[in-house]
Amino acid sequence: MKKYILKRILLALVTIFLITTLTFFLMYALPGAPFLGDRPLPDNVLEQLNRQYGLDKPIWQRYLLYLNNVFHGNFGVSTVYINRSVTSIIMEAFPVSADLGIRALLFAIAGGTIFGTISALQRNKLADRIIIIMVVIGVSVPSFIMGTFLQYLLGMKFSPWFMQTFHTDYRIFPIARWESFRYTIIPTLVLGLRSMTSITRMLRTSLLDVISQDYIKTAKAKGLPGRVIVVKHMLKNAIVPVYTMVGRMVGSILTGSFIIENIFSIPGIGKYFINSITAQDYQMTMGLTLFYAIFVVLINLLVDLGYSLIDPRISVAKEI
Amino acid sequence: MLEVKNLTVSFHTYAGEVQALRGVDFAVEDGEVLAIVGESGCGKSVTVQSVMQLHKPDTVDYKAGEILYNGENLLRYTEKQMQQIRGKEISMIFQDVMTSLNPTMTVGKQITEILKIHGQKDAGKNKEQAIELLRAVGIANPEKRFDQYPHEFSGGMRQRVMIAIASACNPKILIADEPTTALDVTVQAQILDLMKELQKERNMSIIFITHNLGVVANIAQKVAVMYGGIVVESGTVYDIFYRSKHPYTWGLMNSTFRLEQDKKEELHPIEGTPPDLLNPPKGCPFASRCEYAMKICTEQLPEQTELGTFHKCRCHLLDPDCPVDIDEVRKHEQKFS
Repeated sequence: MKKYILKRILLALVTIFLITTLTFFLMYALPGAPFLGDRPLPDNVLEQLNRQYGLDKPIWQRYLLYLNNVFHGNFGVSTVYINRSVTSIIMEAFPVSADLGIRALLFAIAGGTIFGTISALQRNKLADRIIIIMVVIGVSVPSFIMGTFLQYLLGMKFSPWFMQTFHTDYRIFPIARWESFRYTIIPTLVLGLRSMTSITRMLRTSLLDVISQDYIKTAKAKGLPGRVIVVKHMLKNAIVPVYTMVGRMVGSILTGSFIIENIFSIPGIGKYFINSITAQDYQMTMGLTLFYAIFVVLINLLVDLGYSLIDPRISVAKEI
Repeated sequence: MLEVKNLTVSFHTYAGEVQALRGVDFAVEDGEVLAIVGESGCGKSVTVQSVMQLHKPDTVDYKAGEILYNGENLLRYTEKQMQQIRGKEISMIFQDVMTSLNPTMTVGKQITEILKIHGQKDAGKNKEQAIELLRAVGIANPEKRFDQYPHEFSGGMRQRVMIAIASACNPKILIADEPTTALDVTVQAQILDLMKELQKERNMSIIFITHNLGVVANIAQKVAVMYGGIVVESGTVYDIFYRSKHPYTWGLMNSTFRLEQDKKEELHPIEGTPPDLLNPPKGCPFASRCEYAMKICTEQLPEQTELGTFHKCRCHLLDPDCPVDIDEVRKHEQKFS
């Protein structure tokens, strides 16, 4: 087990190094440079800024310098948000994205498990058909449409109606911003919907496969009641492929969504990433890419280690 | 103790109605071993799974007949009442040992589970009893094996675990659906011995499904021969092996090796294929493959003829109006084989 983890960490370091190098050179291969805004700066100012940020040096020197800095835990300074270090921006914005991400993930897992189970057990009946329609909507409607639609429906129509009907100032579904629990409801729904429907579909397929297995017949022949068979014998076996999928989701959901953060003006990390690329904020792009890489690699390691808990046939320790 | 009368079961599939059973009759007494034999698709498994009502409720249709357990018709039982029967009164082991245990649950848990559901709540006592059961079915090192998963057991060991589960609550009847088919010959013998031992010890009745006539002679007292969803002949082992009256039973015997058989003698397979149960023949299901088929055989299903206390047979050759003497036919048959 220890040996396996060590091996995985070494591999992760190599992966992260390769990602860093590749991103670094690709980024510089883009046409343009920082400080080339709408209004061109005077030549001497531009020259001084370039010197200040080390952009006057040849590229290999900058690369080595960057590696050295990263090695010492310094991710550099943003060229857009003047005087703010990349680290401080990550520290400020990532927790918000992660908070929303975890809520969305929990919603997706809970909803997906419930709907997936109902759908499989009621196969080809009304409930199953309704859930399948929901799945199709969830998978195919893009989040910016779902987001604005719910903002309109719940935020602009339902909340005012609720306030009027019950003579209260309490706005249950605020349209935007990130302040208390009620502010999180719509963004969570929107961010989690696609994952939830994917889980529903995967669990349904997986359960339908498990239902026809012989050990389910054994369980029934023991005289177990239906709910025990579903939870202990069906779900526990059907969950393995779903776990793989959820593992892959964690990385992408927790690192923030540019679109959802924009629609609901949530101060998350997603928008920093997209903006840094259009503004050619080199340090920011590099810093965030590196951060994402480390995060995703770490999550993947945890997911792989978790396999042996879900399925006893998979044993990490014996693989080496 | 268990009596199945005129059991008629159909399944609704996309292709249409499959008439899997068309009037099955048999009975099992206390402490008796009944073997149900017949080729694949003849309805053996459907019959016993109907007794346990393990079929998916939305496709199965119990059209007629009754399954009397101690005089009560199990087909009238609700799902809740059946849960009290399954595992406690009647339990079952299956053919495919590799897939009939839950791969994500420890073997110990799969045994204690059945003890718990049938009323024994004390976890410590359950564990003790489960270990005792594992030892009784011949698993070495049961304390350690208790916490292992099915994939750490060999095929024969898994079938032993299945037997431990099935016998955990001291059921009156054990249904074994081809329990040795998927196992090595040597392991088959061990499993058979184990079942015989348990049967004697606890005076269980066993319904043993197989298509291996050697196994039948070894374990059973009574035999029911099934073909095309009906019981064509039933009786004691002696009736079936030495006094059989049905051409299908003869066919089965002729396609089996015998110790005293001459090396040069060939086995005689039954020509043809079993009937399509989606559209079963009007008459005797065996008529199209039967060497002695008469015109009436394709038109009318033969009634049951009682030949002895237990010996019953469904064949038009036994009709008093039949022009052929069945014993003459039988002699003729034996000359061939």
